[in-house]
Amino acid sequence: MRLRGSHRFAAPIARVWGALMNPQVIARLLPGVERLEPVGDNVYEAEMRLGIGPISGHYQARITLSEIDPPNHYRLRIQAQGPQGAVDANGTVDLTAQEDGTVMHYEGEAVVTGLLMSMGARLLEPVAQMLIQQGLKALEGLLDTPS
Amino acid sequence: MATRYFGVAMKRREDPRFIAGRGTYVDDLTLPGLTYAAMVRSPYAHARIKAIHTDKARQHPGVIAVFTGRDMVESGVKSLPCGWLLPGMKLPPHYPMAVDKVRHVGEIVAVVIAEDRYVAEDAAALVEVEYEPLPAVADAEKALQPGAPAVHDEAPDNVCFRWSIGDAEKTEEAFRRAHRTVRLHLVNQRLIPNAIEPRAAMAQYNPATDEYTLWVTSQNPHVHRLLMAAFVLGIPEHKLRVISPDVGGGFGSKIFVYPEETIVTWAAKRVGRPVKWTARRRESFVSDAHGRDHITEAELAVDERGKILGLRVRTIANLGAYLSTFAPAIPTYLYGTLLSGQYEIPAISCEVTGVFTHTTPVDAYRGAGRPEATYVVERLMDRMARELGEDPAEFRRKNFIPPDKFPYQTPVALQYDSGNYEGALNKALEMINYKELRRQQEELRRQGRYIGIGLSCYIEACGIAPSQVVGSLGAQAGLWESALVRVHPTGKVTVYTGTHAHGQGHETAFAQIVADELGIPIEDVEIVHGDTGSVPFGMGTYGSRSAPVGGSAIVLSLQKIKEKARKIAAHLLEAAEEDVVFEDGKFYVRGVPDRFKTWGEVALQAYLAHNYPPGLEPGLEASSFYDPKNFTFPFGTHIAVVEVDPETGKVKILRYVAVDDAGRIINPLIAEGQVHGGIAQGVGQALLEGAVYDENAQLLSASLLDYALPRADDLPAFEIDHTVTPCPHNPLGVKGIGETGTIAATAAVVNAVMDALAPFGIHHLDMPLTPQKIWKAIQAARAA
Repeated sequence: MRLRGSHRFAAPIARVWGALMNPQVIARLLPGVERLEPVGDNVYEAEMRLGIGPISGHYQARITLSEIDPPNHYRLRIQAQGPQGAVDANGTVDLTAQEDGTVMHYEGEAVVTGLLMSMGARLLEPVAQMLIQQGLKALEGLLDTPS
Repeated sequence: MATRYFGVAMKRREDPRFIAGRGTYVDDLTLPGLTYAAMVRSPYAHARIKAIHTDKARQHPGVIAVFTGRDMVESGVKSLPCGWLLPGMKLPPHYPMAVDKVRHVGEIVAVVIAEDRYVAEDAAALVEVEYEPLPAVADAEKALQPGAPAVHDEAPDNVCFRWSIGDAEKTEEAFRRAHRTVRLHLVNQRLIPNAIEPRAAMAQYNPATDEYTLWVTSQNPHVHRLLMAAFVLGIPEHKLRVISPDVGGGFGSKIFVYPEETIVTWAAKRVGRPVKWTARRRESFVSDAHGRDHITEAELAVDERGKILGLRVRTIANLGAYLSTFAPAIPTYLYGTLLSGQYEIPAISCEVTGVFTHTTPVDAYRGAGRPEATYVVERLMDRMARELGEDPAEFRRKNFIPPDKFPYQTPVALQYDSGNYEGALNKALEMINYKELRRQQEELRRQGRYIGIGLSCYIEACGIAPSQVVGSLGAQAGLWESALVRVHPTGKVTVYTGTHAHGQGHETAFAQIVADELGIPIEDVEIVHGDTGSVPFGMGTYGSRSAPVGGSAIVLSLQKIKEKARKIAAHLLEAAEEDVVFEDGKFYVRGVPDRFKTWGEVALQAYLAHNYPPGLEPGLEASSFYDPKNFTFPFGTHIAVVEVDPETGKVKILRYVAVDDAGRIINPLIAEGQVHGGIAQGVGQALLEGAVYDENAQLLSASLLDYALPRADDLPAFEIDHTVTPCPHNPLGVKGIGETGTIAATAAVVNAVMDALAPFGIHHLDMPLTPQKIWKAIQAARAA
């Protein structure tokens, strides 16, 4: 499954970048995160609860940030495994500063296996899009809140 | 003897218990102390198992044990065997649970045994498997490309076998002097069986006697016992009893020895309590052996008169990740040998490449090779008729093997014993009113309605035999059948058949044979099957063998019984044995029918032995092992009439006519039911069904939400009739009818749809012919 899209934030690039690099923020952006802790440089382990169609369950996830080029670019990999299957999502996030805000462009690919795929395939893409939109909305909310 | 039951459309004796919910299926059974197994299955099509953490699952309340593939192998459990070997084929091991690597989605990596099923499934979710995902390939053509991920180290190019039949040189020569040739690229898509009852197994170990009992959804309990005991678990064969009670449909998928029954049998001893497993439907989708999955290049050559000169076929057969029990036989000896169809084809050449992929294993599914062969032949016949501008019925007729040429030796090993193909064709054409129908088709086309008429003139080879021949072809088993007939002192009769019924109505059809032969009421006959503890070794039911092989074995035993009973009767009548006649359940001296001994009196005397022929053993029972001289060769013509809606691409089947020749029919009602079910499955493949894997070899059509089985409103009322050409070499003159519908229907429906689409210049579309596929083709044709 390929995922790509763009989103515009009113906040300046430094603020967006700062939020994206903050583990507390990441935990609130990703869906169903129940626990997230750093286990190394830019590597986190998380417990997530995910549901797609009839298939839901707890997933152990490993989140890795790489190719970090502040404040413009990084690569994000999320490897989640649970009893119903596994997700391996790998993609890039690019930020571009604009006069009145920041444009984010994301692009990546997710490999989904197990029941999650076999039972949920038809719902997978809309659900992924929805989760991304939810995450971006949450980020917008955080950026609006004065820190 | 007057026939009272044979040929009568009796209602099935077993139906009241099935209809009223009083059948006993494996999942209905329980035992004191029963535990439940849940399988942990791989979500990956191909991955290395780095570690399996079972602690959390073990600690879960109610869990009794957790085992992995390593536990089984270390305790001496061997690979599941393959029961058909081809020269030079690769035979990588297939352990009941994966060791080190998984090779298809759904492969078992661990089993949890718990106090109840829900606890077992909850705990199965707690088993943590560390996988290292590896690249996977689901498509057989892609698996053959250089650099494709290898399924097994033993077969780095993913080729399991290369097999051929026929005469390649002679076929080349035929094509060189051909007047016209046609070529088709045909995908015979993968199907998922979906018997109504999911597979299930329950095993018990008795430490006092060191005996195991396994209740399993098997089409062939003795084969299960032999393979599991001797090859997998190392249990002495006499210490394993396999019982296959009521089974709700098999279609081939319950022939094979699967991991699950070996796991529960092995685990029952380890945990010291009986263990049961019943598949959930979503487990069935990834673990029941799939069917078909061929990619074929096929060419047909004719001379100036439109007579066939040659047929050339190259097939890539997807075998899945492991070799299921009879997998190698299906795309070879049950496929290549059928490519002559009903036709005189002087030269045939067929090459088959069996390929490993990261998918669920593929094996026999109703028809097993023969629907694939029929599809190739009958699609080509239609394509060629169109190419020549001839009527498809007349083109077939011209190329039929004429009735005076039987026995007919085909160029692909089989010798057809009998046949009257034109008889069946004519009857089917008459039933559908063919000439008038063609006229209507023309007229409706002018009104913008697209009607299509599709023929399928099929041949089937069933009751596969004799043992010596199948042995020489690679079968690791004989294909005879057994029957033990036991007459009780009161004259009641119990028949133990080595075949197994899982929807075929043996308890009725076989009882009809017995009641007629002995001249007794059918109520006095009981048919017993499916228990290695009571039934003599038998080969089970598949390949439409029960009536021709199993039924014949019963007849042989009945002949022995009657012979002995006549000796006893002659003694009681104080007559010479050869003067005693047995008719309508009475023994009398020829010409003196008023002075007789009844069947019951003779049976009683066999056990009293008070007034008894000197030197004759008491008792009245006989067993037989019948090994047929040849296959039987059912044939027929099916005609489908469809209408395609050009705006939606939807196909509606308007009429369906089936004329089958299965020899003498024991019970027309059962025979018709078999034809109905078979056609439904054939239509399912033509229009609806298909297993879909994604590029990571994940099965996407893994539930009944995404895998479309035919429903009642997809099917018309079938119009069914028969011609009767008795099988010349078995005592009943019967052939098989269990698979004819599936073998014929797929090609008939696809031919009909292609006929309907002919005005658009569309020559071929691959199955399933979904509205989307047809609509797109029509759009493309209109745009061109």
